[in-house]
Amino acid sequence: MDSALFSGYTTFIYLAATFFYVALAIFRIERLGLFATALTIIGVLANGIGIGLRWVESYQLGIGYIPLANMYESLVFFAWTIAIVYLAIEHIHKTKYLGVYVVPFAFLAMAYASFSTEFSKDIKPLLPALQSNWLAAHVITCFIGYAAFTIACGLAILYLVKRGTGEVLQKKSGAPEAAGPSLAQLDSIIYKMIVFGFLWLTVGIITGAVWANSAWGTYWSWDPKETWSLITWFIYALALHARFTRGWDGTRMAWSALVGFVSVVFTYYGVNFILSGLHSYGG
Amino acid sequence: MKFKENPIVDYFSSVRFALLLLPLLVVGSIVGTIIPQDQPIGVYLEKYGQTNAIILEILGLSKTYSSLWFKALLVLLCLNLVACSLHRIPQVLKVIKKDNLNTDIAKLMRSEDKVLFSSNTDMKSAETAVYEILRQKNWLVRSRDNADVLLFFAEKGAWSRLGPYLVHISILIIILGALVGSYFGFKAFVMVPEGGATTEVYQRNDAQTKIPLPFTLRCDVFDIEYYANGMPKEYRSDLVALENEKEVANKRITVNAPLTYSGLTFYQSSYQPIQNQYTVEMTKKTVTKGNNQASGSKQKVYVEAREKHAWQDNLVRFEIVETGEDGHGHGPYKIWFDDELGVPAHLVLEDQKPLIIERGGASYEIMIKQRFATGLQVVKDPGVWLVYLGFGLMLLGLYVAFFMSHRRLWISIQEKGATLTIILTGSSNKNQDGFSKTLEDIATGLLNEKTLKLRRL
Ligand code: HEM
Repeated sequence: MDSALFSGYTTFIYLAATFFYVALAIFRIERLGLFATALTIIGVLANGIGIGLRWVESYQLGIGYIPLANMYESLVFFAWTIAIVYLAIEHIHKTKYLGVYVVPFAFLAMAYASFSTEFSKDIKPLLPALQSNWLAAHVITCFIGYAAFTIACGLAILYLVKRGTGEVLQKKSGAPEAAGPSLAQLDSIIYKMIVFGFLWLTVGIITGAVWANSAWGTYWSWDPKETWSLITWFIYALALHARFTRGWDGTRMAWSALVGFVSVVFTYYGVNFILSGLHSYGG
Repeated sequence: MKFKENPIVDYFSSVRFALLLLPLLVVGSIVGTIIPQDQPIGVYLEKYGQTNAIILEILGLSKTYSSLWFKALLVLLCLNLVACSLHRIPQVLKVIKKDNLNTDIAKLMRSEDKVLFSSNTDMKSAETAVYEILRQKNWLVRSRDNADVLLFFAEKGAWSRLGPYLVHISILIIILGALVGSYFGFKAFVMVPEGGATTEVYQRNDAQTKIPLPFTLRCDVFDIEYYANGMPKEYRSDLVALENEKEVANKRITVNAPLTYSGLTFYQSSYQPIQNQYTVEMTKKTVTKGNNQASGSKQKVYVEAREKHAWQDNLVRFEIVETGEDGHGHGPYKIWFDDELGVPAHLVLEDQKPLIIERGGASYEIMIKQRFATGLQVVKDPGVWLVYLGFGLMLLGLYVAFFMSHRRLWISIQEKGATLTIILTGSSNKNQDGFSKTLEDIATGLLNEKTLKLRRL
């Protein structure tokens, strides 16, 4: 058994879960939802085992580090966080109709990790600067934040879709509200996800700064990765302030979630592959 | 304040202004990540052409984050935060300190979240029962008797209303810490050869200004450990700080573990092989016949290749005759060795691998490695504790702002003939759904209290 094998399984399982969530949304048969959730849980387990095995493998190679040190490993962890946070939301809000807009992100992250040729998947020795417990603290907190923002974005898409189709449907036939959470509930979950993500992104930026200070004596050096994480932070701070002082809820909050997510993707991906920074994530 | 009415000051201290400043900071920051920063002018000339390069320089876009306009935006954001807080904190304190026992019953009746009860007990026992139930649920309770109405007020988390201001203040503290660091601190660099010492470091600016150290810094050992593939796994320096020739601090520093002494921190930052110089360590063990005891002496010298060296009392002499390549750029070494106990010998040593030479009455252990200079980043940052304090306050403030709320409860007990009418109502400044549950919870608590003999209306 090796970690790559489990990554393969995980990709496949998230894809299967996505199909079941889509089927649930189309056919509205409760049992499909049960399968979808079960598959997501299995996916989370396989994903976790994959990460654990990679950790063990790194020790067998005589390197030994928590597998969060390069693009590949962070993508796998990203998928894992998305799926875990999603399961928590599904449990808290007792609805399975959000999965269609969230679980595909976990699948995409895994698929990209597994099939992309832009970065290496090998376990490579860590540069001395990366050998710090702050690395794990920094990556874990950032990615919990990113996962929350990703979910906010997925639900924002759902919000906008519902908003678009909902109005038309009501005008035409006055059909009853489709199953799943109401727009008001969605808005509230999106807001909570942004708040949750903002908190973790803040912790992520702070742990990054403390780490940089302990390794180089500089907590902030305006390198592109740092700067983009600050830009992302500003964008969500903006959305939050606009919400409670200018009443930016509903559609405008949904758009803010989309814009914020673009910034997250740029911070994570764009900086490495479009700009080039000091970070090691280029793989 | 007398200029409260001034519309400019109003705008300055409003969130609307913040909602303008933040996008400007976003755009400014983005520009700084797209245009390469801190390059010599030639780079811009080549990349963007003469006119554009000049425009870039004038706008300060080659040093965006230290440009005047970017700093001005940050200053404005700080002023905006200060003004906004000065404007609002008094209002928030008023809400926190408000006498909520003055509340009109009619107003309570208008509240949406309310529960009505009636009861047959007397006022006195109702009062005790309600008080006890609220106390048990950790509410801070006060009551006031207004003629025929007894009003209870209970609250939790009033101070949580200050959470957002804690976050805002933390931003100011972090920026203050950064300013303190940049005005009263420095970032410098120095290379110290293994076995060498320095009393000055060089600032990281174009002029490389010399900064004297208040003590002597010596590097006793520099070592690199490699992975199997030849990548450096860890490098470390044994540093010693000396004042008046006396050792005052020492530490083995690695990339993530610096040495701090008297306000200066030394970070392991890089290293450099010193051309044609080698570190040689030799231990001589003499075996005294009869009691079989060994006595040894160890010595470390830094030598150049192809030069003869004499050890200690001139009895041992050696020379590194040839230095090979082992993939890291050094070793195996061919050496010439001679002492008073035998004939001169030619030997081969691997890099960093001790070799034992038996010479009758004595044995020698020799180890040779490349001599390095350790590269140290030297930082004085008297503002860093403010920055860390700001980090802590920010996290605390975010937690308070997002997860705590100010919850208020009113319970009025009104005597109407033989029965009591009890109104339970309340509000929360956040998460009203969650608060409805709390209210329901308290209603159940009241209903379950037998002495109250309540009926829900
Ligand atoms: C990037 C910088 C900023 C951050 C991270 C930040 C953060 C926060 C947070 C976390 C809250 C609490 C939100 C909530 O209760 O849901 C808040 C509230 C608030 N912020 Fe900011 N803020 C920033 C800049 C500003 C600026 C420049 C202003 C200028 C006027 C401002 C004005 C306010 C106001 C008026 C509130 C509401 C306070 C209340 O509810 O009593 N913020 N801010």
